[in-house]
Amino acid sequence: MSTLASVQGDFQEYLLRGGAAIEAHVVGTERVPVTTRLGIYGGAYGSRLGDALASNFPALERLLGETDFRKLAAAYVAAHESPFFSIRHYGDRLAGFLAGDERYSDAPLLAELARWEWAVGGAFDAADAASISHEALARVQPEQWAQLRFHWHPSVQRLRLHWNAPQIWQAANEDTDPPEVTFTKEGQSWLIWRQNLTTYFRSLSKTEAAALDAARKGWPFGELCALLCDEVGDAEAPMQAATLLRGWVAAGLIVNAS
Amino acid sequence: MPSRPSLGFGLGLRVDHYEAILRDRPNVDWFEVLTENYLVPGGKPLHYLMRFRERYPLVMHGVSLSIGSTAALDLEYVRQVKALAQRIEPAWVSDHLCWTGVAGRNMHDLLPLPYTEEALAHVVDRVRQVQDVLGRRILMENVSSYIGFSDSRLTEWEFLSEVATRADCLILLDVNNIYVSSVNHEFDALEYLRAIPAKRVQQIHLAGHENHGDYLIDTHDHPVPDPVWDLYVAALRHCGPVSTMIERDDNIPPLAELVGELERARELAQRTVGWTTAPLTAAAPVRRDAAVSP
Repeated sequence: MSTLASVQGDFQEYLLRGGAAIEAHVVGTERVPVTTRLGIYGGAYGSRLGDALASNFPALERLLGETDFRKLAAAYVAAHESPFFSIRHYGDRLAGFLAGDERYSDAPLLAELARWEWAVGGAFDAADAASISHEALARVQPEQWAQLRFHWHPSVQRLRLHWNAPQIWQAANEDTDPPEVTFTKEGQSWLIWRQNLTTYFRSLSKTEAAALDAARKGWPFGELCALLCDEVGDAEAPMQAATLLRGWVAAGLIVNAS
Repeated sequence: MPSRPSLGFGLGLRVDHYEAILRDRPNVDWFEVLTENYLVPGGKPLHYLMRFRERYPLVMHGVSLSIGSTAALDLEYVRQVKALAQRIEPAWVSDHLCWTGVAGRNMHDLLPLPYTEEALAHVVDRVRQVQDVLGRRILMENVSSYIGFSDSRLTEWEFLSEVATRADCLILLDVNNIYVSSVNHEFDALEYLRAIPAKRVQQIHLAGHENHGDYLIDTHDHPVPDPVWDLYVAALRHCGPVSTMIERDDNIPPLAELVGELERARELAQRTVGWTTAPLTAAAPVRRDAAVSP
């Protein structure tokens, strides 16, 4: 191994795990010894990644308080190195970490809140795409409708949560007192998306969630109607399908139909 | 007159100032954008970036090139930088003379290199590769550092100058970083400055730091302090009129405060080298750096 590669390997080992091999390569002065100099980099590593987590999960930080959030950040940083060129992506596994780590897994709201914040962040800078208009959809020929499939805006995200993480997030976002923590055994479906530059979210009924998920899997409109017949009965299904579709188009969720 | 394309006096573009800039049209000639902030698929970051591009000359400043790393060059990253550059046509593209990680890991820090012939040859080779992919010369910025390596055989200024000369790249001279490192490593900042090939200096950064008594930390969260202003004057004497900007990364003050600091830079430049800049029009054409010959 070259000298350069060896120095870089040892320096990185110091930053990640406190390895001491780098000390032999570093020059100190009487005023500032080697350990102090290395410590500046060592401290900066944890605090920079912690800052990135705080930036990506502001509601989680608010819920936990700064001290406990920094403890969580330190635990996550110790468990997860960054493979990303942009620090923006650091924290992608925080929800899984919170769900699986015994220090946090008995408070499952934390993992759900992390999932929620990460999804909101993903919608914020997801790719742009022009949404389809009501007028464009109205031009579809009647005989094409049964086979019509919908293509979705890249920002669309679907979550199913058992805790009221979205309300807690919203309170943090609006700088108001958080609501009481609540749990529902059956869970609640949520939709997050961006229309133009604004990120939106709303809860979904069981029927809409089923139809939307099927449509996102590529089910044609005819099959979505059949699904709705099972959900709400033959009489209600056509009106329900039209209502849902109109809502999806109005919200800019659909970018194309073919 | 500047012997190089000079943009005048700029600021680092920060989200906190987006609305104030669009509303107030402050006396700022150009903006430096942080490349990684805009390497995203879409949404607000790119929307705002294009709005600023319509109004101001921009330059791109990255932190992830890791030019000195012994890990393979991240060509996918370089290609993304190129795509963004094609989209916003910056006056130039810069990154740091440092490394950020090896073995597929990113420390998200600007880590110093040992100043050896081995490191020099390695960096020169990679700067050439990056310039070939981007089709333009890049600027390499000197970083602040807190450690020196026993393996080093060159001074930092010799290393930076050699990189620029051998790779035929340009220099982004961070005057604050020279000052911070001069205190931390007990060298003469003026000796550093005098050794830099002036004709390769395309841009100057001015910033503040944190004083820890025995050493300084380059935090970029304070106003530019007097010793850095003094060194800026020396840099102007050495380099002539070079595009200059205030770089504030944290503890972001109101826009007017940074514009005030920029005014001080203008005054110093006027007094030192008689440099005054005419206000740019919204659609001022930006001269692009010449493409690298194969």
